[in-house]
Amino acid sequence: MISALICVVIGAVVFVEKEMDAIVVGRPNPLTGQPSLNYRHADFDQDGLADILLPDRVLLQRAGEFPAALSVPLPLPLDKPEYDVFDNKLYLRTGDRLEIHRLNGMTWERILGQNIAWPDLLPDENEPPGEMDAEKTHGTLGRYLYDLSGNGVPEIVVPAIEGLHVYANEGRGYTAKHVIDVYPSPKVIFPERTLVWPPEARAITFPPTRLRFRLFLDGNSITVISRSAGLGSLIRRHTSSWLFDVERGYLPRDGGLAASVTAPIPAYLQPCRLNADSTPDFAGVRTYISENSLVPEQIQELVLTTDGGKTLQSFRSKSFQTLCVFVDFDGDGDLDAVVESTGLYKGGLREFLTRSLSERTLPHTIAIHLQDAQGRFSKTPDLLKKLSIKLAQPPFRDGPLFTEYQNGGLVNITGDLNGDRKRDLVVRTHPDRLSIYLNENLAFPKAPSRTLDIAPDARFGVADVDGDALSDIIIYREASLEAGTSRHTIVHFSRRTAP
Amino acid sequence: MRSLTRRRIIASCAIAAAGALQLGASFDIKVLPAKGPNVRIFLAQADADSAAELFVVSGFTLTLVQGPGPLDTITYDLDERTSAIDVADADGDGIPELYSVVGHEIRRRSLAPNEAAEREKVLFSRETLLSNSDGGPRPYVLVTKWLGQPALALPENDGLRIFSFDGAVLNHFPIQRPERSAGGLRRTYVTPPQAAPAGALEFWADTTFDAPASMLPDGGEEAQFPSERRAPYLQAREAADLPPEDWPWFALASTIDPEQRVAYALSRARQSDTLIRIRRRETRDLSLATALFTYSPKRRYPGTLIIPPGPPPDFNADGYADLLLWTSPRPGTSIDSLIQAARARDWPVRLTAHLYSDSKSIYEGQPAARIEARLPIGWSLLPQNGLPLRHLVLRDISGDGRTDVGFATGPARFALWIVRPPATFSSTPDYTADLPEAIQEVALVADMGAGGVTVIALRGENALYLLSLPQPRL
Repeated sequence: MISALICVVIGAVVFVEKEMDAIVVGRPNPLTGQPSLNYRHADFDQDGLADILLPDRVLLQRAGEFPAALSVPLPLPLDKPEYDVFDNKLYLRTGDRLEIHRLNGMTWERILGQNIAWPDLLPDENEPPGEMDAEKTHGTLGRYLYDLSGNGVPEIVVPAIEGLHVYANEGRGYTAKHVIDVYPSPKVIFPERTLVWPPEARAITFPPTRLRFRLFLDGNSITVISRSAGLGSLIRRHTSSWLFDVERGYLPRDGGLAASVTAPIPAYLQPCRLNADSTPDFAGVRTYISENSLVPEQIQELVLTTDGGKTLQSFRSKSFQTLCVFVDFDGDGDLDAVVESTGLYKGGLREFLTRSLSERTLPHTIAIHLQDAQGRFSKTPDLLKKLSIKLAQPPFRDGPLFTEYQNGGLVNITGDLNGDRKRDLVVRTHPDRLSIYLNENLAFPKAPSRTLDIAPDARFGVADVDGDALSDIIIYREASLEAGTSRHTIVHFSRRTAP
Repeated sequence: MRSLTRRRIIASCAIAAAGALQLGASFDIKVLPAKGPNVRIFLAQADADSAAELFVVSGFTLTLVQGPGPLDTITYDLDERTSAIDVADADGDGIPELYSVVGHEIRRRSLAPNEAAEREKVLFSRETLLSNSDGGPRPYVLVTKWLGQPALALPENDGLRIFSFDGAVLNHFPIQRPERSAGGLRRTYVTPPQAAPAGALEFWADTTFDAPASMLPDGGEEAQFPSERRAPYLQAREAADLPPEDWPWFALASTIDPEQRVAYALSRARQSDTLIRIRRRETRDLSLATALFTYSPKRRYPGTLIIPPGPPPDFNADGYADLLLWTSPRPGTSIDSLIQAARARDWPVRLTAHLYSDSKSIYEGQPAARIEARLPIGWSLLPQNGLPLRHLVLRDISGDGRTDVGFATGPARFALWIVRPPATFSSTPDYTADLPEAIQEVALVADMGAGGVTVIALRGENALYLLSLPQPRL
């Protein structure tokens, strides 16, 4: 890590550039606009500044810096642990043990260590970004702490086949309390094609079954969302919620059940939370190739419902994959729809071919459809931003930048760079340049508010690295090595004022 | 089952009639209204003869399509809780019955039209894995034999149980399901939450519990040899650099010697060409350390191998798999030539058939037969599985043992070329069908048995189209 090299002032924002190879920012969840990260924040030294918890160490923050001398390795027992954090304390779960540590100066002080039997130690299926290639020599960041009782002492929650195992600490360490069995029934997977004739082809089979659901704990409620197939390609989503009673051993309370079933909706709509009301929302994106035109245009269609499937809203555009389809653009707490479209197909066949074969600049449009208080998204865009994106080669050459464009990697509207709660826009308008457009009264200026240099072979992401509620810009390069992938990362920290 | 109706429908001859652009003779076409993607089609014996009939499940209606000739159907309404149905003659009277799982109930009813008034009988009630399934009725083998007597086999949480028809348990085959030690809940945490408020703990789980084995009826035998290791287009493209043992393959003559294989890859130099190596048994008297098989030298054939979903074609009925390859001219790379190609709307495709020569132990270099067709340009631009052909059927439709070739030549047009001895195709399709809507899929190609008719069932958005060759008039 190197201390600040360059400061760039844009409007009310200053960018401070630092090398931080350990930071990895993955693609955002397209339905929330939130990036996947290989780190978490906690204030381990309790100085009021967010420290960075990585799978192998903690980076302590001092006045906006993360000095190399303040990098503290995590306690690493023989068995690679799953780490979680609560109230600035570090929890380690291994195959048969639980430990709690707190940071005392630059060393970890164990405040609890006990043997304990867990029901299940399958790792999270969702590999954190940056973990795919390398042989793990450290633990992982997990999620198993949740304060169900609201007493400031977290319970440990472990999902297993038979239900959600709850462990509570009543002063003498953690003990198993209850298995909350609220999962839906597994469904039979029928064979694709069954022969009931001729007689010699008849075979008795034991069918596989599939258990599929989404579950969340929120306060002292537990919600399970499952699906049932209907006829045709539509499904129904079932949402069931229970309040559970900590005093009665975490049993679901009698009469505490709330249940709802959607109207039939397309199967690719996933549960999401587009606004704060109690009705579950569902949204999804499908992409397909239009066969109605001479040019095989890629169409992206965003479909959503905020009223349990009674009405579906959809936005269709000629577009490759985009990074995300929802962000809280205006900072009102509700998510707004982002509809991007490529200008590659603009005009007729000749224009398309000319653009594909010989031009390096692609027109690109971003449309924002704000959500109103009734959960409706405006039919016509509330904001339309037209951009020109210059590639290193014409699209026909299928260069790495065009591939990145097709993956949605050149346009990012997920960040709030200046802390006004409104989303700002970062676009790779040139192979070697990022253009930053600050959201000014729900509009983007015609010219970029500022630009940043980017190496032609680098990529970028947007996330809050230092925990100051301002999004930072992360520029990174990857190189494939025999032993895995090496990354060189530069974080451009946003600051409200110049240092 | 709420009602039973019998009706005779004269198939719409208008659909089968040759259109102005139609080149070949007309298929016999039966049209069966069947809307939506959940249409399921299967064969079962519905009467005392040994031929099979077609059954079609559409929504909660089961339709029995009887015999050749005009469309003759019987429809049965199914309960909306029906998850599984089976057609079998368990009582031995020569006329099969319909068995169904309806929620917790196991039901039986006669399929005989003259027993239309018979009430459906609930045999017994039992909670099984089939009780709570959704997605509509599906064909599923329920009827089996236990100690020589007809019985019902039903999957339950702890294994497979065999029942008599009055619900008595005759046997139980326990099946160890994965529990905490053997596997676990495959879950993915969602951080930050997607469906929950900020700060909540959210995950989604998706775990499949696979059953260990398939239990075949008495006397059933598992195949001793795998008959193929196919690879999609992209993998076949990569295979050329690998040793031949790692190439994808299919059996050269599965009925003669299943260990003789045709290994294939796409040429590195010209990716539209196919490389073939044939694996044979080593017949020379060599030391024990030598491999049991040898591979022939690489031979290159112009065109991309068509890998059918079913068995490989045999155009001359000699028992050996033959090759079918496709080629298509490439447009120039200038803007004008690309525009000209795109405006053509359709694009030529040539199929060539190369026969296997048993005496030479190679595929002949010269194609024995060719098919020239023009297909929508979009199918070339957006090939499916590397193939510009849609809805390909490689089956013996004419009943002479030789593989015939059918595919869509337009969104709503299906064409069939009948192979003629020794192995040639006519310059135009022998049969064509212009349907009133786009073809969604080939739902089934079935030989109806006992000298019956081979039917090609094409599914459209609104109907099922049953294509067969016209029957000679007596």
